[in-house]
Amino acid sequence: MTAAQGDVRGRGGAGHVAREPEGVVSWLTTTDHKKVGVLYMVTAFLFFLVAGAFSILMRAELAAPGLQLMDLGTYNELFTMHGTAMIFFFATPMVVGLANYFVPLQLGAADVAFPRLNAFTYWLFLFSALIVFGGFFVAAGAAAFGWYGYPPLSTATYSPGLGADLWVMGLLLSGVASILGAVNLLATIFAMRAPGLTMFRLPLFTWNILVTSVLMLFTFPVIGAALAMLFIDRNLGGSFFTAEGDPLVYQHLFWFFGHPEVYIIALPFFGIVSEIVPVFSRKPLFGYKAFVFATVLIGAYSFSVWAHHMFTTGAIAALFFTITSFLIAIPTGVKFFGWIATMWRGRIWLATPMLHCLGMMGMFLIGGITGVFLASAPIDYALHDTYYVVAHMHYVLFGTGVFAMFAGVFYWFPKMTGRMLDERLGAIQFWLVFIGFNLTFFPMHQLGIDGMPRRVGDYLAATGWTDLNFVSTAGTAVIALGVVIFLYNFVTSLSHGPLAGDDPWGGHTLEWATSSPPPHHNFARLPPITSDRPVLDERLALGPRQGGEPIQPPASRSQEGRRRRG
Amino acid sequence: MAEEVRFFLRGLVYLVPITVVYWLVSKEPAGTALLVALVVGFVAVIGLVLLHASSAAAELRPRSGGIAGRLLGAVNRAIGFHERVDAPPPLEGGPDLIPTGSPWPLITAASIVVAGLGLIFGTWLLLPGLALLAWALLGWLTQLDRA
Ligand code: HEM
Ligand SMILES: [Cu+2]
Repeated sequence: MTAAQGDVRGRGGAGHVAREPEGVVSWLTTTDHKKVGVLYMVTAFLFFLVAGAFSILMRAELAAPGLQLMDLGTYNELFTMHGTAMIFFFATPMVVGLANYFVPLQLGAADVAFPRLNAFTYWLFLFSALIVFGGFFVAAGAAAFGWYGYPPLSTATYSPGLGADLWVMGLLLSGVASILGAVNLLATIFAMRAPGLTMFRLPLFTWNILVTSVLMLFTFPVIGAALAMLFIDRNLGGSFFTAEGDPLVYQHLFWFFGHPEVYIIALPFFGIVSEIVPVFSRKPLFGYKAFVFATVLIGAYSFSVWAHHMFTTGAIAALFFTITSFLIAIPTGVKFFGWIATMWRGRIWLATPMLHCLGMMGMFLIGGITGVFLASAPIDYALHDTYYVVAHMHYVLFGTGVFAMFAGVFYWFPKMTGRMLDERLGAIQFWLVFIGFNLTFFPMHQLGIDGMPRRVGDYLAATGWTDLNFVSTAGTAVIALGVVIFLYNFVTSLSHGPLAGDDPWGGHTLEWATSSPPPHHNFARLPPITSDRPVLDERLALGPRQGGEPIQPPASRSQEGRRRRG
Repeated sequence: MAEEVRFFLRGLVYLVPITVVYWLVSKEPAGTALLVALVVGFVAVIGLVLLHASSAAAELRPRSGGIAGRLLGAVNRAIGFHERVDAPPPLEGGPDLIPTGSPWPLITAASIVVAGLGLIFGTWLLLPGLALLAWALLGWLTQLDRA
């Protein structure tokens, strides 16, 4: 690492007595929520790259009819491991990582409630992910029954390989990590708030993490139970889900977890967007309490929609699940309305975080609308297990998990490292990923309507699906190019990015009241907290500028920060 | 302050009726059992918070007045949107001593994974895993005494 970076880090460590050990050991033994957060985020992003590589292989195989790269069994392993890794080892831990780093900062706290438990959840997550990936190195290959592992396909009879057992055990243990992580976050938000920071002054990111933690706390035990029973069926002669038992119960258990899981991924990223939109519109958020209420409602509703994934079993109360699924559109609409009203007549600063937020809104909107279609049982009967569903879920998951993640990364990178990412490269990356994403996934709607089934590694030329599949594969290459540019930007900015100062964007919430990166115990002083945007309040009180906040480029902005603290 | 409790109470305002409705329209036992478990879980968390925060309990307790007034007041206190801004967080404190680092989280996680793999590969791996776990937990629990 360069001297410049060492300097920045050194500044972060100044001002407290107890020093952690340096080097690798400090990362292996750390209990600092910021370091644990960084470990989570970096690991999750690496798994994103791995799962992304799997998707490139899949798309390459599907570019033309016939089998060119792999056999059908390998394709099965790839989509299973792609889905599993994206959900459990990328999106979920990325959420936990962001929460780890920023919730204590937004609370004005020195750390999380249980620092060692926190570190423990990270290691357990890492090891369980490695167990699941270990399936690629055993004789019969990795799990190949889809990311939700339905029996009877996932029973020992039809999936006898060791890879399946590793998948079950790995997900079971990572579920334990998620439960303990949720307990820790919940306790942190309830117990560690700075004086004056009441529940209705919590930043919206933290509010969304609170609801997310509740979802995690109550749904991961359910999938844990399902996986444990599956494990017993496979290895200890059980018959929960075999012909003597009831395979359908597994589906209930899985989706009682699986649908809230979508919101475990979506809500924190809604929260990030709700942080960024006001800052980059130079206005307070429109309808704070409505946002809180909508978040709570989405969380509550998400417990009652699970079987909309099971319409075609014909064994569920279809109308009930159609109605409850439609209901979720209402609080989600409230959030969209609030974002738009916040931007309305604002002085919008289209920097990279804001750009990615707009991308998220557009993509999630499309995914949300196709979701309403699919929640209608008759439509789902026609489209179930086609590429229409693959298109739908990627508009939802990629819109939140990738676009809003990048929004958060560009927004908070300066806080974590003391340096800015390159704005121009960031904008190029955004447009590449945006265009590539739509090229990849929009045609899948049509493919699905034409009847192309998901989870199939080959198709006949006579189906007429070749052209759209080729477009889709070409789009994937464009996404990959965008991600490569991000990696370049990330690595060079770590050591050469312009210095950020404490508050390069003119932020509203407490993480902007400390240095970048923050010192070991986070805060030398806290501003008075009398609203949900204490840093903005203090800036307005100290900086006598008429007409709200100033707009200025990052350099002079950090000057403002220095003057304020001096 | 009681807002933390109200947060879960508001959740129950939706979850309790929907559990009943689900059972009535579906008569499907697995989903109903899950919803009931969820309600029980919410109640348990509410109990836990109240146990640790007597101020929250005091704020939620019914006050004087007529039956209807009391009832309305209780509902308002239970799920209404209002909040005392001067109240401290309900679970005072947090760790007195922030550990500056610990090897035990890593070791504990590793031992659990070894034990988990032992369930797949056999007792020759399970037993060492459990032994390792015992050692790790002992180290974890006794660490702060030495710090
Ligand atoms: C990086 C760009 C991505 C590409 C090119 C991509 C591509 C694909 C493709 C082609 C499939 C379908 C395979 C099939 O049904 O035959 C698939 C499935 C899936 N993807 Fe992605 N994906 C991407 C990102 C993501 C992200 C970010 C997530 C979640 C956060 C995700 C979650 C899933 C899931 C859950 C499945 C279902 C797996 C299964 O059927 O078991 N993907 N993806
Ligand atoms: Cu769903």
